[in-house]
Amino acid sequence: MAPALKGGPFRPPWLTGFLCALAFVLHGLPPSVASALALERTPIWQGQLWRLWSGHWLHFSLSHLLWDLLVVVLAAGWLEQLSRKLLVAVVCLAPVLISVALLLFCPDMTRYGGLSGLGISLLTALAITKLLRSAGLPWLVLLLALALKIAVEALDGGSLLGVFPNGTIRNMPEAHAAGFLAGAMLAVLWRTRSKTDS
Amino acid sequence: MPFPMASIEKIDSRPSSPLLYYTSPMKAKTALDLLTVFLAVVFTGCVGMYGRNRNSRSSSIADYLYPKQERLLVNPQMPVLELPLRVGLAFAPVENPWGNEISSLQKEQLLERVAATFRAQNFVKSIEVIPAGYLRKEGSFTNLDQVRRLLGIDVVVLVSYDQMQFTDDNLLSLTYWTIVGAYLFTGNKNDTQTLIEAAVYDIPSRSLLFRAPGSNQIKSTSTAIGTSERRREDAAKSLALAMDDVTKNLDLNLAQFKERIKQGSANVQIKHQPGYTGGGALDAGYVLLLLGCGGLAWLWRRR
Repeated sequence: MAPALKGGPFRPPWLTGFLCALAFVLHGLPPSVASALALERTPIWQGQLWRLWSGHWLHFSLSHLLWDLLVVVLAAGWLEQLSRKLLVAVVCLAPVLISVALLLFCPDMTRYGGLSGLGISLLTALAITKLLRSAGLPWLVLLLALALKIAVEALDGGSLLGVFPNGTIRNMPEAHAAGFLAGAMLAVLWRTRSKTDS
Repeated sequence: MPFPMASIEKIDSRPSSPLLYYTSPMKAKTALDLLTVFLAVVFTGCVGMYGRNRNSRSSSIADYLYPKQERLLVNPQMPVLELPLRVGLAFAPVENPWGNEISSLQKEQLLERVAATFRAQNFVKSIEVIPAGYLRKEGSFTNLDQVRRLLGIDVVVLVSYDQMQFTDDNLLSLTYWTIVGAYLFTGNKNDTQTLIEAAVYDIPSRSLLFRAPGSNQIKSTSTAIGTSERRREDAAKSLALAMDDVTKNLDLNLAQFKERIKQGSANVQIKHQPGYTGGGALDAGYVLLLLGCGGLAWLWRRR
């Protein structure tokens, strides 16, 4: 069955609501439970592969969660109006792809937390989907602006200071870059599959 | 011609020694008065002079880091700050031949004030006071390298100080002539001036990251007998207040340093130590991007 890419009447964004609730529930978990879900290098090598996905839903502070979730909710809610299945695909696959990229390209990182990578994936998937549907220049602007902001973050050493209350936590522009690529890849694949099926 | 008798008697009436010459009642009284005045001047002068002096003590970062003239030109490299930082704190060592140094306890208390400023920073992993025994006089960066290896620190905050004390007399010091006045009246004016500077160095690159000065001046009065104690109290108080000033400026300069790093004008590289935890964080910029794009798309569709 071809993925639905055409916009239609307003759909209640229950999937977005579920994702939002899930983020709050996981943030409220006691540390002993949360540690079993965290994206940590060693347990993943030992076979605890669920951490590749679940680790993104853990945050280091409430403000960290709220900022990440704000972008995720806006982008996911919009994408859900276009295609709920694409949203499901991005939510399921993008965190795993981002995790793999982080484990490969950031060898000194031992733990990771935060939905920002998924947020960027959703934004990118939304922009590309809109762009491929000939929605025009604004989405191209969004894509370029996203790429530019991620590049600036990667080059800006200052963002590494003071983002998190705990000094041992490093802001990871690499996760945003990986999220951008994952979102773009999934949106293009989805479009290709859609054309093939039709 | 025989001598006249009267003349002979006059000559004989003179005393045989100069001392005896002054034993006439009138002249003895004058001598006593002079002696009294002399003793009064001598003793009250001593009391008046008691405690009047100037005193100074100092330590110098330049003397510690660049002790030899030919080593003044240390070529600093680009600092690479590996976060989170491990910071060491110490007074620049000084060898004072008069034993007029700040006590170790006092130094520790003062450094704790600076440590509190750094503990509040999220990029500082640990901060510790370097024991005085670890630093040699004129030890330079070689000594700091040793301390770095021993204590595992990356950045050192060196504190130097310069304190001068002056004591002069005021009008009340006239009462010291009475001796008792030296215990009762505050005839001494004390002036204590302190200048402290904290300089933050990246040890591997020998680079000064930033510095923060602090100063204080205290004026007080004291009795002649209490001057020494008062000067000690003033010295300690002035050091503490100057250190408070340093911590305020340190806060300010630290914020400016972080801002310079963000603007790329601080000439440092930021890295994280292996084994760090990564965090994915989005800011308002992303929200604005999305909302801006949504608005633009709406306008685009309506055109």
